[in-house]
Amino acid sequence: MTSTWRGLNLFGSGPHRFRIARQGQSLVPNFVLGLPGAGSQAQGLVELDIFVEGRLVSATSSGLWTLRDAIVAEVTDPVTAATLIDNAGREWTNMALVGFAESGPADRGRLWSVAYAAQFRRFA
Amino acid sequence: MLMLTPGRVRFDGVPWTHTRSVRIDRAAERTIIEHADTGPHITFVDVPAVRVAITIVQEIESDDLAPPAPADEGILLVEAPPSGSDLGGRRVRCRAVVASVRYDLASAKPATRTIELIALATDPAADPVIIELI
Repeated sequence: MTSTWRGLNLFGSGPHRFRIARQGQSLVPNFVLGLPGAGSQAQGLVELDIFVEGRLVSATSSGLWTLRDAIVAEVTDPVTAATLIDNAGREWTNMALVGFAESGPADRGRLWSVAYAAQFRRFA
Repeated sequence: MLMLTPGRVRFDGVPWTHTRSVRIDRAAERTIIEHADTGPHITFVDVPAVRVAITIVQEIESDDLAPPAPADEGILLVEAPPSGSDLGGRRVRCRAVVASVRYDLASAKPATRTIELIALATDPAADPVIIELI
């Protein structure tokens, strides 16, 4: 099965993997809050971040641009929240695509490809 | 690509005589290897950077006082004479830059000069080595 977000297959042109960022409390050192002594304060649970990291692949340069543009077009303001599904069928609801970064220049070997990381966040 | 008995060899218009062999190696300078989430095996491989390296070995019979120098750039022409089964000969042509010039003076053999070059592509998407029928 292939991954989707909002029912869209944004990443399926090439291999990609899901990485879940740190989950837990947002911790702030006491000195930042003007409190005495060492130690920290829990400020509440951090929002869930999931990164999709992989490589977009196309037979042509224009095809690769189409794939890149399709993802960038989904990074909207205000954000759009939808269900994110990974390659094994695991689902996360209410995830917004908040960022897309290419990891280097596009490569031209047998195919055109570019490595990337897409960031999803479930806002509190 | 290997030519064991090349005919005429010229670099930047200068003949390189008594050429024993011409070897053209191709290797990945950079390889892309990717895996997926659902298993341990590689699912994507590509080679976005290729080096075409040319090695020319010549027999040297006298003093060699004007060899090519590293960074020299020119057109390399190698003519392969026709074999018994060929209708004609072939010419290998490419633009290249000299990377190294070395000598081997093993006592039991004629002295040799080995020149290593790196081929340059005018069109990055096309093979820099062109084979023509002559």
